[in-house]
Amino acid sequence: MSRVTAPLLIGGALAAAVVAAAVAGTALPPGAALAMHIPHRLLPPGPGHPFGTDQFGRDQLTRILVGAQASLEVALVATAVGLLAGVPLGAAAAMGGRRWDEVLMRLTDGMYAFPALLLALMVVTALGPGLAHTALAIGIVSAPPFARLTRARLLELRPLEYVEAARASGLGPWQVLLRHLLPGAYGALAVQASANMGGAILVEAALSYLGLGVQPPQPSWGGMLNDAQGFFLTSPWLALFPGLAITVAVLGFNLLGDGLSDLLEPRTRG
Amino acid sequence: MARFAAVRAGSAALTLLVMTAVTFVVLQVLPGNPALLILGMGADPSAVARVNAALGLNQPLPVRYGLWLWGALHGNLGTSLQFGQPVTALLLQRLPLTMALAVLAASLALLIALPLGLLAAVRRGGLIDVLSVALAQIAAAIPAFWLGIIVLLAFAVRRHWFPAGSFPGWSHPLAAVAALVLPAVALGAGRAAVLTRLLRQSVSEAMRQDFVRTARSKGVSPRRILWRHALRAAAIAPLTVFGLQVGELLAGSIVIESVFSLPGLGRLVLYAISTRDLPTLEGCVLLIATLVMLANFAVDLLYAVLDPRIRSAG
Repeated sequence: MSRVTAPLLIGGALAAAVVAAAVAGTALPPGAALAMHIPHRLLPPGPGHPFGTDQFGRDQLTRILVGAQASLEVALVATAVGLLAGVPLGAAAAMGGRRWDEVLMRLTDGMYAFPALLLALMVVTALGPGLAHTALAIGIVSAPPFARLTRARLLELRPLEYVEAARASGLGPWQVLLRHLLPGAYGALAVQASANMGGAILVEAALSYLGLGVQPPQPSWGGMLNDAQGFFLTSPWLALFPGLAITVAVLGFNLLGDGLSDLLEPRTRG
Repeated sequence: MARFAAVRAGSAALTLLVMTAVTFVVLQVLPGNPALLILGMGADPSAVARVNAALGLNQPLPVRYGLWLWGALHGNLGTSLQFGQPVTALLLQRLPLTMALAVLAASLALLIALPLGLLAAVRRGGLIDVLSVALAQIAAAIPAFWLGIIVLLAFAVRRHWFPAGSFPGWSHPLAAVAALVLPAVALGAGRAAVLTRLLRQSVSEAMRQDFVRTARSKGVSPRRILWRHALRAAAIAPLTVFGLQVGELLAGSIVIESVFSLPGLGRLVLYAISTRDLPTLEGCVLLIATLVMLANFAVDLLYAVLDPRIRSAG
């Protein structure tokens, strides 16, 4: 019975396509995404410009490829921040005794109760816009789910016999945690990380659309939709392609998360 | 049951307190001095100091938080730096639109998710199941604001089925609701997708439980099994998510109201951010946080109604 499922394959392929787009973007000559060509402004999709051009005559395909970098960078950094902050927090709550657990989980719940977009919006307002701050803001928002997941998984594993045996064999609490408990959470964390990538791309796109995320002239998919707002009526392709790019990327990472869940955590699925 | 409700209410209040503290700390590191924004960049330092004192900005952070919290408990959220009105008045003025939008979007999401999720669960592996799973995956990946732009272009601009981005006010109830239909579609689609998936999964899990088999062997009709037995047992997970979605709907309104130029709470949040109107922003966040907590509290109580085991667990 194969646990490699259609979501894993389709999600993997879509996510790989997004990564490939970002890599292709880096191979372009520097400034290609910013090159204005006023005589070629607002061209519909055609031979020279498969996705058309915007109001400055910039090639939309180029901008979408370079925009993939921004989305991926933000999503990767945000997920890394979420993992690096969330996993130790969750582990401390699970291992540190009742009082720590109470305090840390209260804090986590308080942050988790914020809608992701609202908290990210507040943090990015406080830090100022830009790619790095956007990634950090989304990373902070991503931490509570990782913390809850880590805590739940560790509490589940701690009473198991193999952990008991490790402890009885004289391993210290740190060794038990790092060698025997945390590895049991890796699968669940990988699933959450992939889903978090998708969520991060959505929040980044929304922030950039509002003008608070990645700042022009650096291309980002959300920013492209903001830029072209006034031209959608006459040049609808400007509204079409960046949105499609976001959808494909989010779909890819969400499916990948589902597929990883089937692969790594089969007992938790229906 | 009363004990359960009291414990849950206390827990919700505590979470709300943490949320306000987080809000306060995050927003107090905001760049840009509100006094300079009010007086202009080249303002006289003594005037800046006076405005800071008037705004209470010269006091340490914990004191400011305490004062703000004390005021909030008495229904006083301060005065907006931009509008010169009490923040509570601004919030009350903006809230109805956003609430109407959220309710409309949530109803739409339920209206789509309930039949689709149930049909998919009952006929697992069938055509409707496969289609609804695929559709839900795609819909969950579409950014709400992009869907908003697309439906706006398609149904308000190309075909004039709905008004394009303006709000006629509540004195024209029908026109007001018509103006909210497209925003609600944009906001509700993603929620519908998530709910459909969850309903499908939890109902089909419930259908495999022993009590369903028992009911079936007793000769209970399939319809009654679904509605009386499986759905009740399966409602917990979708309910939790529905509670969380209240927050997502309110936060989503920030973006959607911007796409459709609707004068609601979401637009007020953005305006307060761009003008560094701290009291207004804090008030908005407090209101949203309170609504989220109320929704989660209501969901907690519903759990207890649905599942007696939860009631006794406290």
